[in-house]
Amino acid sequence: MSAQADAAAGARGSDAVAPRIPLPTDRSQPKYGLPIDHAVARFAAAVVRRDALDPTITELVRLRCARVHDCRLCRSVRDVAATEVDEELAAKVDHHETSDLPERAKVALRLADAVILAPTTADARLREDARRHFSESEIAEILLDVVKWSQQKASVALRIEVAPREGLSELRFDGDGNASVGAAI
Amino acid sequence: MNMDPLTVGRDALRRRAPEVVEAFEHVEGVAADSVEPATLAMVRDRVAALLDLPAPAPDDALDGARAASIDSWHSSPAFDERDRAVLAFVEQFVFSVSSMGDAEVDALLVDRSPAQVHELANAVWAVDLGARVDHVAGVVLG
Repeated sequence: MSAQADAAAGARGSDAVAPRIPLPTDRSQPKYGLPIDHAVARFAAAVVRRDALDPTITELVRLRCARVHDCRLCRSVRDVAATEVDEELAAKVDHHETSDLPERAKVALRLADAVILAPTTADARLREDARRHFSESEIAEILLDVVKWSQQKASVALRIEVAPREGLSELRFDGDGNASVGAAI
Repeated sequence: MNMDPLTVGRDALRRRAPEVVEAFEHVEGVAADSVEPATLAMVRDRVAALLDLPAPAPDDALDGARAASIDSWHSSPAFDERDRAVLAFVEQFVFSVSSMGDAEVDALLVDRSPAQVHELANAVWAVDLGARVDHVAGVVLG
């Protein structure tokens, strides 16, 4: 297996876990085509259409959510717009506080961790750090990105977040904010 | 006027990203319509307790016996097996969704269709992440 495939698959036992409900079959609609699926897709696209943040920060936050939630699909894709994020950089999100990531990236990941790990740890220090490195619009975008990239918790719980292939795949967004998984990387 | 911290956070996000917050609140509305009101009230109460966040306003959909003893749902006779299946799922979802087991989902599937379980999982996500982000936004943006 290549280094990139290693990065996608990780060393987790979840890669072989079977779906707990039948997988969706109609790829022309969001997931099962239920009202909640259409509503979630509309929310996700609205988040992606925001562009206050640079793609590198957005991708690092996405990968942090993917790894914490163990989303097999999210771990296996890389946003093609985030050209500065290679696998060496991506791996640093796992231990971002002790990494050599720029402080701006660390603060973004700290915000993400506050939401996904322990909201009550958010404090005046986090507020100060966030406002030193980001505008209010950027902070709002990071927080809402985390909600969007944590939507996969619902799919992880049911293990319907199947990776499209072994190894990494391209993740693309159209102008409306809709995601598609493309070619193998 | 004192506003609760979660409302402060939601309003702070709304001012900076109104179209996204509107879309999320649409999700919350659809999610609420897709599960039983008492189930949703249990989810809201339990998520807040697990995250150590302020309890939501009392919801008439949840009877007093269950509302009063939700933190001891494991042993309280106020809850039946259907309730316990939801609350066990919520606990695993909030604390470590990657460690969710087949048993938690199988318990939901006893008397719910796969589509209903999918809807419930999404409702739990909306409650869970909504509470989380509202609290953090209240601190850093409020």
